[in-house]
Amino acid sequence: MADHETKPIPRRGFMRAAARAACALGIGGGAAYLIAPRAPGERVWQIDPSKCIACGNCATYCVLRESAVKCVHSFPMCGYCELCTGFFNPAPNDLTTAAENVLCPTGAIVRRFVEDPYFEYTIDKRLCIGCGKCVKGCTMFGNSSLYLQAMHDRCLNCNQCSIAAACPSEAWVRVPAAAPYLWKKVT
Amino acid sequence: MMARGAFSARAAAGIVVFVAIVAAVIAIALHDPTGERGNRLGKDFAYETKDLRPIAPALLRYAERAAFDTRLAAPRALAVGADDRLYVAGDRAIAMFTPHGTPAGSRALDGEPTCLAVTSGGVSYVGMSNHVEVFDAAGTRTAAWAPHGEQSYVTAVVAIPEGIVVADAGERIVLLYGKDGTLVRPIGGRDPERNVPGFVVPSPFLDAAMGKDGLLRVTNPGRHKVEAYSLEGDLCLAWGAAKATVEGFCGCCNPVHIAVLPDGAIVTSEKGLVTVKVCEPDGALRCVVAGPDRLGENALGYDVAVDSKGRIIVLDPVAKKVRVFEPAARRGSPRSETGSTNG
Repeated sequence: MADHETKPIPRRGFMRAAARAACALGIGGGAAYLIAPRAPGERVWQIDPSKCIACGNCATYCVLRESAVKCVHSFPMCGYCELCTGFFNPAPNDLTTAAENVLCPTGAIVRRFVEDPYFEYTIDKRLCIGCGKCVKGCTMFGNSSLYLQAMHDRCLNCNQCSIAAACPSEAWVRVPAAAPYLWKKVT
Repeated sequence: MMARGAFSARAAAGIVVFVAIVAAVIAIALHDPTGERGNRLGKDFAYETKDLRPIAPALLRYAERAAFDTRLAAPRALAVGADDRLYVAGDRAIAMFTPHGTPAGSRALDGEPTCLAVTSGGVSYVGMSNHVEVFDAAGTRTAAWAPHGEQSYVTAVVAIPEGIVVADAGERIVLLYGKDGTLVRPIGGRDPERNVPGFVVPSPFLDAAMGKDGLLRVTNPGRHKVEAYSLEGDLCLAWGAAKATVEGFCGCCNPVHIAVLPDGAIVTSEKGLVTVKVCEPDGALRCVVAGPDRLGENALGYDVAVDSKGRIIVLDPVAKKVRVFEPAARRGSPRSETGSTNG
């Protein structure tokens, strides 16, 4: 048996190696947590669209710089209106996509002609900040096919959600992580 | 030297504590854990309709003379029958009232009604989501007509001497039936050869009423128009435009309900900025009955009907009340013995 002489590890080296290992474990563990399917009993935050009043708090109370809340669109519910009150401001000069006619402050809604007189509206999630202005317009005049949802590719699922605390209509609820969205359905 | 050093340290500590207390007070004052101070977004993010709500006082020529509770949790539709008796459909029932709002009984239904019409003989035609059911004057169901299509959603029934007109919002068509339920012909379906553009029905509202000129008035909410059809299905007249001002129809899809006054003028009801107004048969605005300041802002659709004395009756689904409007200058006109079936 060869005589193996163990060299003492310097304290600084040990600390460096330990920090590296901790970082690797943290990154790996975090990635695994994000990728792995949620346990059946786990619950996540979501907005109940039947209670949401589109007050705008979702845009500003999220701990993220860009809110985890975005507008989504239920195409089966949509009327495909030429004069969409979620797209156009309440008194548009004309039904064109000129900025003065358009409701969304960030230009996050895309309008596409389908056939006379129908138009399709889709949300550009990169631009949507979850202010809910289009939701108000759609709900006031139309079918409420535009509504807000917390996007779970962004939501951190804080133990105490700061938007939920600031929600005046108590629309934030905990839902099973296995079904994290409350999609609207045509009744 | 020592004393001055001790004083400086104490002063510095005091300043730090003072600054910390001020910072804490400011933080508590600015903290808004319940969101009651609003979203802190700029005015560009506010959905503002207050400039569209006011109506010129000169245009408001009706006054609310009475309002009574429907005693229904979800009132949906309104009709006027013989002797101006009022019928309100909702929940799973029809509630009946005298012209002055005194409850006069109710009838249970097997399902949730969506609309109704009552003839001068007391026969009720009730839209039940996808089909029509017929009840005799005693309230006994005598017939249930088959749905017209797979997507049928009946939103208006009108009893006329020639038969029964049914507006089917789901199939985007108006149907003329014989009184026995036999389909006579569809009216208003898209037909470029007859210059009929077709109904655009973004939300479940399609209404019809018989005009005094013999033309059937039908709403085309997605095109912001009221159209007039002969009973043969010819489009004779169309008027209306999308406008945020009171001269036009606001929002995505209006008007949602209509009725016809004894002089032939058309009463229109809009959702969103809830407005009931009276237009001449050719569409020119005559006056406003009530605007959003009176009726509110929502997308529920306020059904309207007219009685033989020209009173405009509005079903308010939020307050669950029937509101009766009369011309502001007129009060207490005599009761009529004849009925009408608008709405």
